[in-house]
Amino acid sequence: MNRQPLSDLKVVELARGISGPYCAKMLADMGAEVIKAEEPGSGDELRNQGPFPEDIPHPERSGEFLYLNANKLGITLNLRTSTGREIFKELLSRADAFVSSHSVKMLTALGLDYPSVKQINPKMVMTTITPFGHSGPYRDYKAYDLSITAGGAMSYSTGRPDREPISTPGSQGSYYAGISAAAATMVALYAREVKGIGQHVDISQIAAIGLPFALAASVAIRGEAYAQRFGHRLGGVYPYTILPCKDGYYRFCTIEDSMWRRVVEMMGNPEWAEDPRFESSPSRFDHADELDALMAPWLMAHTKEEIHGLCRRYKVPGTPVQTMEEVVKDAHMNAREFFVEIDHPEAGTWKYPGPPGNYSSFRWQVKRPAPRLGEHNEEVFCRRLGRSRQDLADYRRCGVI
Amino acid sequence: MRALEGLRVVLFGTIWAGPATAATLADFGAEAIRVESRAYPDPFRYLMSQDRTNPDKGPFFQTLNRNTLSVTLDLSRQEARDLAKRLIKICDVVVENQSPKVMKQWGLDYPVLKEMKPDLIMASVSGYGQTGPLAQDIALGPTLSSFSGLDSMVGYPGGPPLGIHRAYFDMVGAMAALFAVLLALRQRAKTGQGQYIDVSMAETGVTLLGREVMDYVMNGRSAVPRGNRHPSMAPHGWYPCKEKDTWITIGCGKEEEWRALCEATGNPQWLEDPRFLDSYSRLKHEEELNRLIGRWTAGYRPLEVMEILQRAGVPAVPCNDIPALFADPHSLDQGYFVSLPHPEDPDAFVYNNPWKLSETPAEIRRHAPLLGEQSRYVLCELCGVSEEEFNRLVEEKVIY
Repeated sequence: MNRQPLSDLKVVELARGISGPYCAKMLADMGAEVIKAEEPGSGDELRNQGPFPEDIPHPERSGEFLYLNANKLGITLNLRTSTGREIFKELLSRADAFVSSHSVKMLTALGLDYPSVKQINPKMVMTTITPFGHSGPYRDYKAYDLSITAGGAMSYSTGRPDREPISTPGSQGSYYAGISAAAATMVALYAREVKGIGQHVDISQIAAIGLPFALAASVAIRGEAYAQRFGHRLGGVYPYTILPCKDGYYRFCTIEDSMWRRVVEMMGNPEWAEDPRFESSPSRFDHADELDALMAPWLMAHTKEEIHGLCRRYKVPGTPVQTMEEVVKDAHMNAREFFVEIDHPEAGTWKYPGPPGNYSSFRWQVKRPAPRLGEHNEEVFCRRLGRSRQDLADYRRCGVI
Repeated sequence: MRALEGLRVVLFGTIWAGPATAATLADFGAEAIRVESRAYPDPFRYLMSQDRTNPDKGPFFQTLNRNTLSVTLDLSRQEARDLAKRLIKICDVVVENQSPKVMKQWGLDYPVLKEMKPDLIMASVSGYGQTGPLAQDIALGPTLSSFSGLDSMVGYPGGPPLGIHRAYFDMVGAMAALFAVLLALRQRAKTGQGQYIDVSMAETGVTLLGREVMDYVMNGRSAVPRGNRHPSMAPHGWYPCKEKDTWITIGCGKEEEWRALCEATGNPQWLEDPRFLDSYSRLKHEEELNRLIGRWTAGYRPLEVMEILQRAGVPAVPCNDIPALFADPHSLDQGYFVSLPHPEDPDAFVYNNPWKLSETPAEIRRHAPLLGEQSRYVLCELCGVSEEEFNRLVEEKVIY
């Protein structure tokens, strides 16, 4: 039997978009029962963001929604109605964890701020994910994904020095907050298991992403230049850069002079490399544009794969800059069976990313596809909460679900 | 109350992912012991240090390894490996982020350790995972950024990929490892069983690229750089502020946010402008719109813009470099940075644990360890090595 580690856990999710759903997904993927509450009518806004097969929008065929919400049960609840709120609180009273990315203001207005939830369920682990956290002068401030990596000191060092920096694409600010929140939630779930206590896990998306980028705190605060942006390069060393080649781009990550000498060897010991200006890394960096141009002929004559094969042989740190196509088709990822196929009644069968870790004690699995809007209303309200079919019909007519 | 009180973690690893995992566990009360060596010191001990001969002056190291202890054991020596095993026997968790064959070469791989301690939890964090064709390849944060597809979309619209040159994927791996270790600890508390977890930073990273994977899978499209533009939102971007290289990020996804922006900037005429009447038309005239907004923001400092706009309900956040983040009022109020004096750096600040748990909060209790600072405590007090034995091992550079 493939017993999942969190199969004893009941989770309620009140979240839209990426951070909250990703956090709850990590729990669902480990076997927790996750009930995702969406607004009747439109549901999670991600249903409308796509991507869609053939670019035809359809709320049951949004690729990112389908990915982030597999393994969950889906209900609709109108929390603007008092009855809706009562039902929701009932769900909370029987749950172990609650994940929400609503603002503090919104949660308080709904009577779902942590102190209120604690009254309903003292052992609840409540994880909230907002741009600035639930306390502090900016707690009511709003931010879209582009502002997370900006505020969290990541984007300052991304892009060209003569232009505006670039927020990390792929909604990384939001995704990273989601996985951080999942790890933080597990601290609380462990504490709950051994000490029997609940608590509030308050995640600020901006503070979370700051951790990797604000490491050299003392250095920067002393005013030493740190984390400048240099476009396709890292500052101060060469070659630590992305350069064009025959069929795309290749990334080098060579820091030490010994690695540079291997690069030179790999390129067939061109004469220009003997120039004493290119001997040490800082000096090479000072002449980086010149070196980019000198390396270009050799690079443009080789494909990503050819360069990579040589780098592996010469032990030069580097990798092809893969396109998403190359990632999905990647031989290594597929040898590890990383991608999984999920069949959805409306959207069809597609390949999705798999788990962020392989465990020896159980097999990660997808037990159900992402829910259609309100798909599990009957299962949850009738079978779990003991409402009748008539109740369900009344709720529907009165706009509660 | 400390969530992980009474738990002991041993780390075999350097630089980022392993150390970040161990230190975070220590933040919540675990005793985390770094096994390191003067024979091959952690490069992070020297990174951005002003003294390349002193392994205890690295500012990166100070944040990343606070709360942990250090024992030096040269694992190329059999006796050191035997001692490592004795240490592991009294630990709950092993975290390692070495290249995949190393622990096995040292005789410290999971099958061996499990025999010695059946309920051990062991997490390996590596770039590509423990198995597969690339398992032995060199993996650094930026190479994984390129491997995973993220770099291919970092750039200005229509321009080449510029990439992320800093270690983002390492933290991604640490988050996955933390989740895994805590999950395993909870399971062990319930069942008494340990387990082994294989975390691949590349795979974890791809789980964070959901939209882009699905766009390829569903439509055969590979994401390309689009700068700070958004497929459906305008305004959405970075705008210059008063001083050179200072910026504010602004996004308006709802009509009321756009209205608030027009009013707060003193531009009610934008509301009547046919180019900007809804998000679709604003997208079509994005360049002109951005120019107009930029002219306004250029008159203010980033924090001023944020205050004016956020008061009106417009999502706006400054670009922070580290000094700006350090001085930011919210960051000060919330304690993003804490003073953590270190023997080699009495004025040191470190970045705090960013999570706020109400009952079992993180605590920054001690500075990052000097190299081998707790060797005597770990080997004599915890592992029962006698004083004479300890001195002999030091002389013979086993403890080294």
